[in-house]
Amino acid sequence: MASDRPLFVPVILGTPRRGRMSEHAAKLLHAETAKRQGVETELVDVASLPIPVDDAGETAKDPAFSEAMNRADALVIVAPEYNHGYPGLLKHVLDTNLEEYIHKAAGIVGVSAGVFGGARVIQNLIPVLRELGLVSIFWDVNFTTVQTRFDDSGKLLDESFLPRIEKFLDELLWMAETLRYGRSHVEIGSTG
Amino acid sequence: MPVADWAMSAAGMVCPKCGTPMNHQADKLVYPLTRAEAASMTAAFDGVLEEVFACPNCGWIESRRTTPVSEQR
Repeated sequence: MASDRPLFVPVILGTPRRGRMSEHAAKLLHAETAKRQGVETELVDVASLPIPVDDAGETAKDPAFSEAMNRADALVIVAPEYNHGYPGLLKHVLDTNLEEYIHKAAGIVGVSAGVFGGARVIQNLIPVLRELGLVSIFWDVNFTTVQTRFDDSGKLLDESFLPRIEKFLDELLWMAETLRYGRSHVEIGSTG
Repeated sequence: MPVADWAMSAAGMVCPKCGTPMNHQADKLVYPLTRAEAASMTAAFDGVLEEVFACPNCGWIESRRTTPVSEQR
């Protein structure tokens, strides 16, 4: 079923805050994704996207970001938990596109300073992804007490996260390949 | 007109990137952008439909609105 075209799986760093620990997590996920055969990736930093904050939807689209979302087969979304919710800029950036996401896989990497590892931001983000047409997977990565997981240079201090990331990517790429087939070959309304 | 008849429009779409016939892979209920689109909303369809297509060759995604005349009031 696999096509010759590599899967494209961007990693979205979902916070613009200074001192963000999620940057380490996003770079790690980007590096692990890049190791996969037949997969291309890029790190998308919401802080660097020239998207206006006083408009929304088509009029606020950044052409490069939209093209990346159009090309994407799956997304890795790295989201810190802020007061049990997702970063406002992440939601704003995601909302600038729609058809580009439909029937594509999404996996969430939760990040928090506490022991829940972004569990609540993941739960709050899933309904948003659903409305955008993304298909969320049942594996997450949870960086609990993130301030203890990386050193100042971003080196991972706890390698037990690597097999977790491996399982997360296994599922995400399976879903990405399967949904690519569906998007390309299964017409809506043609079944049942 | 039955919903299924207009939800799957007859016209196909060709990929603007590579010229390959695209697959109609989804119908998404979206917010209306114009008064005409808003007028087409019903109690059951609280929005308007956007047809989403994918290119089986290069993967490009395109979409277009469908606002059935029969549903306007």
